[in-house]
Amino acid sequence: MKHFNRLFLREWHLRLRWYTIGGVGIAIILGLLNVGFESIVGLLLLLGLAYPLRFLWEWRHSSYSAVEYITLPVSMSEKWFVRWHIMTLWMPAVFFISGFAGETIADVIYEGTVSFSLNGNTLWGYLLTWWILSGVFAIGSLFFRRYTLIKTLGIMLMFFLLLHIVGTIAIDWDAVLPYLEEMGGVIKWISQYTLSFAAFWAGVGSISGTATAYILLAITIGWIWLITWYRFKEIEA
Amino acid sequence: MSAVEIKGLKFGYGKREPLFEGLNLQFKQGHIYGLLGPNGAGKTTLLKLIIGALFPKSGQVKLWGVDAYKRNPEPLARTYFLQEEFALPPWKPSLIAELHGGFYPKFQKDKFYEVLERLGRVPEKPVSNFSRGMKQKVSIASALATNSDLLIMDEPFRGLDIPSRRELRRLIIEHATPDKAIIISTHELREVHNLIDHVVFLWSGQVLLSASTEKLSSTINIVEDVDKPLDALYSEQVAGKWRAIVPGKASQPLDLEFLFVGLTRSEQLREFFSNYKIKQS
Repeated sequence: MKHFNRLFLREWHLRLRWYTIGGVGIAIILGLLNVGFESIVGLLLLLGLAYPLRFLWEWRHSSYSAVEYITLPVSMSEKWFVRWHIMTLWMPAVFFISGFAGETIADVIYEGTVSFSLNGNTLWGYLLTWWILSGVFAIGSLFFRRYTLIKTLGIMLMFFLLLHIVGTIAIDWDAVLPYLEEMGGVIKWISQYTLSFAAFWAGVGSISGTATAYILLAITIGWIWLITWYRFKEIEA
Repeated sequence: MSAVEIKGLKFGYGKREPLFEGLNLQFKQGHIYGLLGPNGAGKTTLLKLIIGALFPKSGQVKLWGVDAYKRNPEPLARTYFLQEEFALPPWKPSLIAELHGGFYPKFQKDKFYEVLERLGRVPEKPVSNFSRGMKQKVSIASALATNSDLLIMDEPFRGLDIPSRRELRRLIIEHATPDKAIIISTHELREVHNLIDHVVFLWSGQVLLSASTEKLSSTINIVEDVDKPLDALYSEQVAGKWRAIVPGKASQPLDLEFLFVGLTRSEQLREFFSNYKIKQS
């Protein structure tokens, strides 16, 4: 992991800064619209797919940024690890922190106090859904380097369906339905499919609960703070 | 050692007609290559194949002895590709030197600023707001500061003003030590005719010509006469005189631009080079 910090910093200055600022901005607007925490996070999650989609587009078209990225003398596995790290840790952290920001603002404006309570199962559901989606895109992008758009989308769809079938067989819908109800709002309107997928993972997460959700959140906030401090310390040096 | 070795390369985009079929080519250390060819001949595609951004359908493209498509860090650390198209990030030049330089083991920050100074100072502002020429200067400074053993430049003179072009020629000559190979793909032949020592001309998916300028000068001559030379491989009338490419030793420095025009227009000249077998010399 010789070049991890450099690659991460490069990505921060290229894209992540704007995803972070954009995520918080959208969350605040949605918060003002009082759409609810789950919906804010769900919407941000869907918007976050623009990040891996952009990579797919860049790889496919060998665009300037992709070619420049390819020619960097760093192993492909290390390059992929950094992007994977961003997709699985940084992006969800941005979504959740932004979601909190939006929801807190809405609480203060509409209720005059912060009365926020977090459902751990929902959090797990969204987080795992994002991980699965970003994973599908990461796998898709590997194929995208060699195959046509249609073939790649086909491979991704098959992978997605496979996960969904496994999920459907394993799922106890009676146990999951309450979680499904909790996740109404904008996300439901945007993507019923994502929602059902999230519901499945929410079911998986039912072993955890609210305490786990707070621990998870504390870890992500701690991590995001630590990594930002560390990266900037390096560039200043 | 060859910086790049291409054997039996076949490549095409999608299901379209292959762009290259059975292409063989070498780029060796100690030379400045001019990669020439008409629009659509595949110059940029070939450069992308060399750095591993595109994959051959068959055949081999070796970069410093390793398959380019594997994108191994070792050969890439010795190679720099200056692209023609720009989408520079909104970074200041100092941040570019900081973020970019760390990946290249021989990167010299001092050289980065020295090259910028020589090409014409650029402000310490986000480069995405710069003019095309200023962006080019920053990119050239990044490229030369890496001290790469293989420097690939796609249209490096594009957008530069006249003093900067002159300075860039000097910088390239300074960079061209015996352990380095430089490939310049360009249409601006007047900028490189005194710079390159080897010409590679792509035509119809093949290397029509790969020869040192010295060998070319001993193979063809460009003459001017009131009468059209009988042995002309290519000729055109300019201001009442005939200007022609004829077989024989050159009596004056080679006019690359005229040779380029001749190669694109004259079947006879193309056949001449095919028959003389000076490819891969």
